[in-house]
Parts: sequence; C-alpha cells; structure tokens
Amino acid sequence: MTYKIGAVGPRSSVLGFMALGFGVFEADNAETASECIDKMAHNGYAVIFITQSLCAQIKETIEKYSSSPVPSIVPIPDDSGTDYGEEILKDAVVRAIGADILYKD
Amino acid sequence: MAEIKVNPTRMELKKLKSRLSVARRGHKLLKDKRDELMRQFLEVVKQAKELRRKVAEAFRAYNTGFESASALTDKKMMQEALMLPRTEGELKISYRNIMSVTVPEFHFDASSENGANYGYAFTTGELDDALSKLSSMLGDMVRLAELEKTSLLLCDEIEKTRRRVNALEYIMIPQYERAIKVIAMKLEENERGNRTRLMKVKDMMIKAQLEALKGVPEDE
Repeated sequence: MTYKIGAVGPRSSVLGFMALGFGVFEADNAETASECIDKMAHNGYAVIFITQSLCAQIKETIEKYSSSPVPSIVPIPDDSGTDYGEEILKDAVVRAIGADILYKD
Repeated sequence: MAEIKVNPTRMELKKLKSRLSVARRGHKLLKDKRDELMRQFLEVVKQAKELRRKVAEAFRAYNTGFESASALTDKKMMQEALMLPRTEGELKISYRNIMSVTVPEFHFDASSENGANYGYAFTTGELDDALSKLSSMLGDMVRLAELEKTSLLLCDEIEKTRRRVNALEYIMIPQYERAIKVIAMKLEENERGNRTRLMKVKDMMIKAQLEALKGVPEDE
C-alpha cells in the first residue's frame, strides 16, 4: 500500500510543497490545523509536515498520534524562529532517560 | 505496604518460591530489554538531532528563496505554476521490529525530481532555485520523519518497560520475599512447638513408668 505525504500550514509556507506532489492543506489557526491533521491521518497520509508555530499550538492533537507507527508528524521550521522540533526530541529524551543528556549544552 | 496474606503451609511456601524465581527472571529480562532499548534510542535520537539541524538550515535557505520568488511573481501565476506536480508524492512503508517495538520505515521514490512542471515565461529563476532546493532535501525530510517517529515510539516503550522493572524490583519481589520469610518462620515455630510437646510427653511417660515400677513391690 502506498501512502501520501502532506503539509499543513499557512499558505506562504506550504505552497512550495504543492509542486512536489504533496497534499497541501492551508491552515492559519490552531483549530483548522488540528482538523486537517485528523482528516489526513484517516486518509492515508503517513508523513505530515506542519509549520512549527502551528505545531506548538496543537500539542494534544499531535500527541494523539505519537504512539502509533503512522502518521509521523514532523514540525518544519518557519519564520517564527522557535525550534519546536528540537523541543519534542528533547522532551522524548527526558522522558525516556530521566535527564537531558543530548541537549545539555 | 500491602502484604500478601497467605496460609503458612508448605504448599504455599513452594508456590511462592516458584513465583519469586519467575519474578526474578522476569526482572532480569526486562532490565536487559530496557538497557538495549536505551542504547537504540540514544542512537536514533542522535541521528535525528543532526538531521533536524541540517534540514532546518536547508529549510531556511529554501524559505528565503521562496519568499523572494513569490514577491517577484504574480500571485495567480505562482499558484498556477505550482498546482500541477511533476511527481506523485507517494510513499511506501515497511515496518521494522526493534525489541518488539514496531517502527515504520519510509521509502520515498524521488526519481523524477528535477525539472519544473511549468512554463518559465511567467516565473522567475528564484522559484526554480527554491523548488530544486526543496526537492533535494525531500529525502532528508522523509528520513527525519522516520527517525523522529522511531524515537517517540522507543521513548514510549522505554517508559513502559522501566515502570515494569521498577514494579518488579521494588514491590513484587520484596513482597514475595517477606511472605516467604513469614511462612518459613511460622513453620519453624510449629516445628519447635511440636518438639517441646513431644519432649514433654516423653518426660511424662517416663515419670509414669518410674512411678509404676516403684509402686509394684509396695503394692504386693
């Protein structure tokens, strides 16, 4: 079975993905974004890229899918400057090991 | 702490002893599993961290390129240019088993990645540049998705396993040990009680016999 790749985010950030054949869903606020994610998860999307400022706002939706093998939801950098993707990894390390040993610098 | 209520019999003792040995073996196995999971997890996270840095950098470059492209191109032309993808973004998944955790492996076929599917007349070179940057980092992005998913799944499993190890180590095994000790002491106590009773009975019997012997001539 083949799966699809999708992108969620504000128009300017995700438009480029359209040219690569991704399923592009425009979302400007947290509500639309989490609706999009739910819809995509049930429609055969295995990898979902989402701009990280949106990602930070819909943590609950993301966590819902974190324990199943698909979909994999990946925050991508946008112009907000924060690095939410690293935050998720860091969080996982702290939860699994009990101390932050990778990002202690 | 809650104690196991048991009858102090040899049957119970035997049962508890075998359960204790099973618990000990399970504890050892789970501990090994946890250690191996940790090792795998750290490896994956290290890779994911590096890849994320790389992708983030590439993405920033792409973003600035795309921004300037969209500033220079008409909005409608832009949309039109991007609407028809050259490749179908399709993904194959296989599953791998790491210490009984099922993790996905994404296979993205990026064969026909180069070249744009739009006329060059109405768009600028910046757009071509930005898109080729994006498509060249696509493989990395998919790999990143795979690594991050793997690390999250492993993290869950490590948490679960650690909880089990701790439950065995600090609750189950001590409980069994205490219950076994209680039964052993009770049994020993019974044994001692029995022995003193026997000794007492023996004494009484000897006394009775002596008395009987003494009494014989006098009676006659």
